[in-house]
Amino acid sequence: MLAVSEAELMGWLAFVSLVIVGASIIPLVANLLRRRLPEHRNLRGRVPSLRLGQSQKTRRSPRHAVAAHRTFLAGTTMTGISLVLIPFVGALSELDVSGLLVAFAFAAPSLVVALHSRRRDYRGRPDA
Amino acid sequence: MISVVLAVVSFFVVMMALYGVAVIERTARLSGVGHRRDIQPPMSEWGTQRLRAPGHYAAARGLASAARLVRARTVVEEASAPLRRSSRTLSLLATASALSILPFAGTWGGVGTGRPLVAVDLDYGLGILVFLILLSGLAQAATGLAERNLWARLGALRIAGQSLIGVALLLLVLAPLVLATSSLRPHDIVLFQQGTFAPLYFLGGRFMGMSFSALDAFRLPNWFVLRQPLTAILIVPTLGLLLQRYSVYDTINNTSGMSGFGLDSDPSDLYWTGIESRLSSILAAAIFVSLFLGAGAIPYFEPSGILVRAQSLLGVGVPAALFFVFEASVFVVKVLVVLYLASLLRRTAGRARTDQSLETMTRRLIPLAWANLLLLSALSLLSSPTGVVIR
Repeated sequence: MLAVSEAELMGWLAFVSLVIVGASIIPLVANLLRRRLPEHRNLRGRVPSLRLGQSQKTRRSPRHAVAAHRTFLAGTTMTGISLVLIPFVGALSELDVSGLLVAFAFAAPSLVVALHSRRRDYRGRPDA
Repeated sequence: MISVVLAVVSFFVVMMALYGVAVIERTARLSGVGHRRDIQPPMSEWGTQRLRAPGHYAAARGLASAARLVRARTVVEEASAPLRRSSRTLSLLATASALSILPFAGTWGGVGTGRPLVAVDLDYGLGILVFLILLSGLAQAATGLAERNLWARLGALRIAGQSLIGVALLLLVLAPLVLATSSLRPHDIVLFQQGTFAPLYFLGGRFMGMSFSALDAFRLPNWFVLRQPLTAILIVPTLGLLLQRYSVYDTINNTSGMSGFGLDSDPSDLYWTGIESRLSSILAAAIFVSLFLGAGAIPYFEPSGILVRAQSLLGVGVPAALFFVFEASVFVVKVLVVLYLASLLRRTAGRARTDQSLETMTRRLIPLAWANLLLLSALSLLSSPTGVVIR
């Protein structure tokens, strides 16, 4: 049921290719022109990355933190896809759209209770 | 073959919308100083026009932007160029794919059995649309992760948070449309919106024993913006938070924005950021027009009669093709009107901080979306057993 026909695939390919080619024409022409320029105009300017402060700590590159953060986001995305999206699509293809109503009937009462019993934030109120 | 033709027409629709976005941005940038006579440029010596700087003229600005692209590229130390490039490509691909799913008109020839006027007609298009929007948002976050400084990582976290919460809200906002049409196919939602409905049907003939059947004659277009106004109001901030791209050079507000990834005074990066940002704006407007404003349909206009009469003169193909072009033009006009109103709204409304917008989404909009969903589900359950159809 989720299979995409060849016609739809062709339509998608044609549209996305046209958008990418249409968007790339100006940079491609600019690139060609840049290559025609004399050598000294074609040097790449190297700029230091943004740093606020000159202390040892701010000058150090947070490689481990960045790598950990990338791994975290990639993991979250893949977990989301594998835990939610794939079962969702599978269930939907089995049950059709009427499955949404059943899921809603299961989820709505628990959500109403959860919203009602959530912890209130009393910060900033004089009587807190 | 017909799908390729539809893809080409969709591409021209998007190109026209891109030009319209550029004009709207320019109008937004230049407006607002008309009442300040003290900062107006002097009058020209001859004629009735003012002597403006060359940057005022659109052609000059376009030429200057193109010329800047020829300048040598800048390279930022410690930034991952492949990650930045791949995330930009992914974001552009996701946005373009999402645009290809959205129908810009009803069916070929205006009959129910005709070919849907959309480049890619998918049965579960709405689910795929939400996934592509999420993918585009996460690709933006990945652009920020390509840089190794605290501020880029904070920005990436901000965009990732907004995308994840925004997608949850988007699912809740789109659920009433799915329940009303019993389909996840965008083409079905567009078809559902053709024709009219009587908003005061429930008063007809049964209010205090008096006959009010004349109220049935008061009919509105069957658009979801009129059938489900709260859903339409909720989707505006949702799309704004999901598809609004922050950049240092904010052309609508004409100010410096909060942050921008990978700009670094590099005109090429600025070009790609601009293209992605404008395509995202068009995607948001196209979603609103397709799902809430009936795509290319004109209210109170039934094309089948005119098409049948034209077929006797011109054959089957020509009237259908003319009507197809007409509907595509109406779609473009609607998208441009929505974009103009959105730019007015952006200039009028203040810009919320990230924590404020996230708090608004989680504490105000998500409960409102649930309440809206409960209300509409209850209404549909109440009306269906008695045989009353809201159409």
